[in-house]
Amino acid sequence: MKRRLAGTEGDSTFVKVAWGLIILLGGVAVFGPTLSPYDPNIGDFQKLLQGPNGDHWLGTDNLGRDTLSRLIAGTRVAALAGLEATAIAIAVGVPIGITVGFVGGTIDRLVMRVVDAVAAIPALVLAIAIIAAIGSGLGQAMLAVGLAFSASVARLARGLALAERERLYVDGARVVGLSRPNLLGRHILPNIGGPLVVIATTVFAAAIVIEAGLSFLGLGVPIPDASWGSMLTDAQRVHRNHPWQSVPPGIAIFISVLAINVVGDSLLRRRRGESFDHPAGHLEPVIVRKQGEHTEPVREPGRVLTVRSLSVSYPETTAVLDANFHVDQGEVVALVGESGSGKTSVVMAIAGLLTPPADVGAAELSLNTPAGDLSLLDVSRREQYGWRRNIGVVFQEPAASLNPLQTVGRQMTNALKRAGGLSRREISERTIELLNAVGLPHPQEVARLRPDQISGGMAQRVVIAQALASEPRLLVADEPTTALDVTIQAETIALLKQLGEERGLAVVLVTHDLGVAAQLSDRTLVMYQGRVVEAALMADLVASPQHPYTAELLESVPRNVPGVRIEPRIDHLTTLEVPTAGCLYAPRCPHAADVCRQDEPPLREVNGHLTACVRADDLDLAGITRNPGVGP
Amino acid sequence: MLLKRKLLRLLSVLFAFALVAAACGGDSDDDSSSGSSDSATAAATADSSEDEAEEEEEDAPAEDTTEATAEDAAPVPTGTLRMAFSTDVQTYDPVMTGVAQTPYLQPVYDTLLIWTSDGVKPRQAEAVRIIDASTYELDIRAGITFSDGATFDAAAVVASYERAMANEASPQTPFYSNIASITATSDMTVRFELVNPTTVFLEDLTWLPGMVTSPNATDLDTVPVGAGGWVLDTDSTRAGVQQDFVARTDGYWDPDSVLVERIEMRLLQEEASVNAMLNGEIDLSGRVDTAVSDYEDAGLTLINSPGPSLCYVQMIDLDGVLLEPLGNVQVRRAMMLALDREGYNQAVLNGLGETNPGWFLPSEPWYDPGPEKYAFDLPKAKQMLADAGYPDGFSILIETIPPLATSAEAVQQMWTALGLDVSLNMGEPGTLGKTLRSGTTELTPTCNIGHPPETFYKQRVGPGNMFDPLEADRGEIADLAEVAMMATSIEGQNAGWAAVFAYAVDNGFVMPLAQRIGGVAHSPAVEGAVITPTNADYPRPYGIRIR
Amino acid sequence: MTRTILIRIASLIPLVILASFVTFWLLQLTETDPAVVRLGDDATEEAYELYREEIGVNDPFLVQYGSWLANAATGDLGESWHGPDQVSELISERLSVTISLALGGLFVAVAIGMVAGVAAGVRAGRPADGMITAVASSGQALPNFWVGILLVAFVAIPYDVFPATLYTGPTESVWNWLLSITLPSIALGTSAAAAIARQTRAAFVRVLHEPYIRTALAVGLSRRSILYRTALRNACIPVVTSAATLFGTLLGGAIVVEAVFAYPGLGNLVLVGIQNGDLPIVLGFVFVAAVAVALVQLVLDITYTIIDPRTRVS
Repeated sequence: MKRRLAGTEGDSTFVKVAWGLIILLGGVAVFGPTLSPYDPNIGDFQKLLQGPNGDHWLGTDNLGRDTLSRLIAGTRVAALAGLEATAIAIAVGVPIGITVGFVGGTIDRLVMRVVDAVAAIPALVLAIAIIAAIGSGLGQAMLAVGLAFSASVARLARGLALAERERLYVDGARVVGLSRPNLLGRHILPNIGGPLVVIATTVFAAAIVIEAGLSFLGLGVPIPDASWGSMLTDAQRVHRNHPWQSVPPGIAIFISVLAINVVGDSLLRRRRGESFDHPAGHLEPVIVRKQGEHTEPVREPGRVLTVRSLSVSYPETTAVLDANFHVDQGEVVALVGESGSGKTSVVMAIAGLLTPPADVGAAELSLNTPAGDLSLLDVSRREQYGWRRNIGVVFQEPAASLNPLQTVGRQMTNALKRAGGLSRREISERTIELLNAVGLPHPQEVARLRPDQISGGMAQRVVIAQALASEPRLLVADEPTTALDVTIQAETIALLKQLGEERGLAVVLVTHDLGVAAQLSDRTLVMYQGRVVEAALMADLVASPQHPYTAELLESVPRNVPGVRIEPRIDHLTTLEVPTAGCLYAPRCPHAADVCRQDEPPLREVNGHLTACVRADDLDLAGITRNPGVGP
Repeated sequence: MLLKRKLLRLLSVLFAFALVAAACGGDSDDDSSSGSSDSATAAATADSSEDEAEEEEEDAPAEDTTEATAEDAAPVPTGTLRMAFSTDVQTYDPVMTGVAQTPYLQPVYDTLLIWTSDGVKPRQAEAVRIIDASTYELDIRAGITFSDGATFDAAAVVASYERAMANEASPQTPFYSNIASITATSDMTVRFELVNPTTVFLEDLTWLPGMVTSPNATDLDTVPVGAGGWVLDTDSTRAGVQQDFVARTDGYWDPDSVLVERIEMRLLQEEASVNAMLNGEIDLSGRVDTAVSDYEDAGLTLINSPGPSLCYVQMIDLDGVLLEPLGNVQVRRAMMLALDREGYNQAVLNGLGETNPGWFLPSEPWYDPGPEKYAFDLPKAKQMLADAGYPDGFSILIETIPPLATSAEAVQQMWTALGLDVSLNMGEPGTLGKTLRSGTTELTPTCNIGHPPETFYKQRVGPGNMFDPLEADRGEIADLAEVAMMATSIEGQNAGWAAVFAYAVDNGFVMPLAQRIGGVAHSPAVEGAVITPTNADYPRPYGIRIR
Repeated sequence: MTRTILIRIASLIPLVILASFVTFWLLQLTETDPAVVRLGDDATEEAYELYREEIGVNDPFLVQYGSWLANAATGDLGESWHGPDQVSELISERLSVTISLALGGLFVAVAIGMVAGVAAGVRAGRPADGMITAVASSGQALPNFWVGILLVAFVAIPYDVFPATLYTGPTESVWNWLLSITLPSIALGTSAAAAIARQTRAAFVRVLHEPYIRTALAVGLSRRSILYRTALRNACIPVVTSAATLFGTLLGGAIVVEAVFAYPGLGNLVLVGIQNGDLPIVLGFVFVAAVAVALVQLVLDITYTIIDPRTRVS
């Protein structure tokens, strides 16, 4: 277990050193008596209070006892304390938590009340109460610490049990009669291990400190046995003239707690998958590199956005490869594809919001604004800000996209302030105006509400209103309807269409839903595994797809329930390997031929479409003439 | 000469270690009266005879405040005297208080007599007449009132002692039970009739047994009412934290000795009181075992106690009832030889003690050179143990309590070197005396305040002493003690006691570890602090001035 | 808002009752005889029995607990077995010290911890972040009483600013009170400050990964505004939650730190209580500790409601 946890590569040297220390301390605790150079409890009166020297590496104490030997003996005490407290916390907490989590109801509430009550008593205070009741000693003290911490273990176990119960209920596992012990064995215990190890490190570290504290007060290990805490008591008596005395035990506590904490943190980090490498999160998007050959951009009237040779890659995958497209004023361009096809990466790159570890490069990424042309390539942070001001972004999950602690009005105000040049009064007028424009019936009231007080559909309208605050020329919408109810989806689509037309916006719409795309877009790009595989006017695409993947998407439309993503077909993904050469779609393609497996096909024009299918000319793919429709 | 001898003898009364005081609080073995010996043979009764007392009368109020200005107007008490104690006051009833808590009661009660560098002197009693060896008459000073307004007269004194004599639970029972009767022979004169003659009756009246309580007091435990110079400030006093006293403003009889307005007595453990002292947070503290240079660096003044106190191993199982080897005197001698006294002194007493293997120091009149042969000699000790039939040693368990833990650890260490298998059992503080009297413990290392030999004999080494629950065979010691007590001269007594304790040590009844001079440290702001045998830990507040 | 607070208060009561019940039950396990504690070893069996009868330890457990609780509700925690003092008086005398230290420690922890955590959070991923995090990780492992010993030896005694042993109550002199709790609070708060710093930083980092940060960026909010307005407030929420637990830990730690500074707090009282077998003091101590933790929890709950409006009961 330890080896596996320790051996993971992401660990910094720090963590490795910490593991080393823990193993060392564990070894010392186990083999202490054989390692100890002297009897820890028997000193030499001829050698009182010595500093470190050849005979006594860490010196001697006030009775001439070897400090190193006492430290070693104290290590075992500390380790036992930690083990006992941890074992008790787990042995008491886990069964209680799992049981009440499963039983639920009144028992659950009652027991958790008691658990809360125990948790309300600080561990050291509980330890003192237990010592008062049954006498002093290490065992008693650690029983107390274990009990005190069993409360948090119980909470954790209960949480897991509850979650598991919910999940199984949904899955119908209970219905098919999986017995409870079975659930326990199969579903809960394997899941609880990780969190338990993390919490165990906390208990262990706390136990070491509390043991030392109690021994320091004289309530822990009995004399003459050494504990790091009682060594500090001895040290304190002679501290003025022999300050060295308090160093070794203090350092011992410090080092061991530090090592355990560091390891605990690394385990926690791994479990949470917290983006440790990129702690700045969304705050510091990557700068788009200029790559490929540079040609002067072709200025076409009405052109808003030009994207040439856009690539987005992550350390292990290429999300987007060589995407090219442009959007004109008043035009809606849709990016369609299944999850993982790279469409979101494309729009977030355009919006300048992709964060590390993404690596973004393009030959051209330019925006035509009233103030002149802007490029996003190799820009400064300030320029990146300037770029973003010209783009409105609508996100996938409206509820999560709003600051939960601020009212809608406040957030609108912030956005409008940044747009600049408005008086306070104008800001509030604009707020109402925008909220009105996105079809919120009572804008004043909505402005006073917080995101948790409005529905998802309203939240999405607010997000759209925010996106419009800076009066952008380009609106980027990433799956704007996915998280919404079906009826709301239709309204939102209508709203986007209306806004686009009214304001002459250029819109890039990302959706997995060809139906949505068909309603809104003028042109559509179909993406597959990071490549644009087909691009055409929407009507043409639907009527006569020129790529088998497009055909597959069209085929799925009738049973494509809005709101449910097109997931890659499991049978394909699990059985097929990603080809190293040729068409990436070939393994899934019913029309794949040898030619498909040779070179990766470039986009070329066939029947007025751009398609990446080498066999496009040969195939007669089925389209649909009927409008696929939206909603029920 | 007589004075000097008397002084020497009495020097040994009552030297408490702060350590032990903390350890034993109210219920331990250290609290019994120091001077209640009923020595029938004491030739010299107290020298504070009538004449001398009369002589003293004129300047009696000055007591040890010789520096006090003799201005016409009474000095106005100013400033606050902050003292630290390591032991808490359990009760303000002088009858129920242990010796270690005496300092708390001094400001409130004062005493009938006081001990000065010139011996016992009048205080609340202005004259003492020794009628015979067991009859004493005291004239009460006129003009004294209790802080509740009651008059301090013969009737009040009689009432106070009769109350005390009726109390059988008092730690001073040996003193009170030796009073056959107390009567008022006039308005201002009381007469004590004693059961047995004693040499230390007047000395006893300089500490707890000399404190008189108001006849009107109802709750002496928490609301003391005495005739001292200060009253307990119950508003600012916090139990277990700090006891505050404020100078009386109702016409105290001896304003020249009450020079500080407030006295604050803080409860501080040993280590903390050094910190507090060094940091100027208190003015006066019992001196604890830290390097003398610490005090000197901080500009503090040290006053040594007049006599040593003692750390030793108390043997209980002399017949080997609980642990067979201990019944063998050669084994006990081997154990004594294994005591590295210098090491103990350095390790436990910071090198501040003496390391004499005998019970008394050469400077004391009861010294006997005999026990010198038990100076530390480990090879000889091992040989002796082997000769006694225990070449591989044996196992022994030492009972101890936290304040004595270091002593116990040191002894464990020394006997482990001898080859014994020694383990420790730590009891709760205050329980040691009980454990020792339970008859289940073979021995324990302990530290004790100094006593006169007679008291020590009765408490520690004689047959039926308080630590003889097993009623062990103590050989000829009773005969030797008889000789000492029957001696007709001071020299004879001294020689007799020297022989008793030489015998006790030689037979391993008690095994001395170290003797230590205690004392007091105070800041430069304190003037007029004096310690005496009956106030060896802390000076009386009377006459102390704070700058 | 008032309603929210009332509900919170109401929900704390069972907590305190249960905590006291658990302790009361625990202390039933002891074999300590109150009569011996009070009357010593030598009293008669009749006297012992009389005392036991008087203080009610012969009653059934639940009756004892019930009457104790009823008294406790009125602030009467019973009489000490050892002496004539009321437990509530003894405790109230000492409470000031321990609560001062615990709150001082909490202040140090929150003030230093939040500032350091925010300083690291706003520099997330930069060298300063790494340094603060490393220092905090180390600081968290410092045992409070060791820090206390070092502070006494190397600050209090050499420099004549802070007392080494002398506690001053806030009612006597606010300035001296502040001086007297400074070092113990630092000793107590160091490790907690480190913990808070790391928590704050972690909360910050988590918040920075929230979609609304991306939205804020997209609508053009400045880095500064995003960090200090949007992220900070959101990051505070989990930290405030954990501060209640932290206060409990600090209260426990105050007992040990008190001993280093020889301050006359609850720890000192309860240690002597344990030595004397004076269980009413131990019980009163645990009860008061639980109430204190509950009260701090309440204050933090209210703070929490102010920071996070979602939790208000409407």
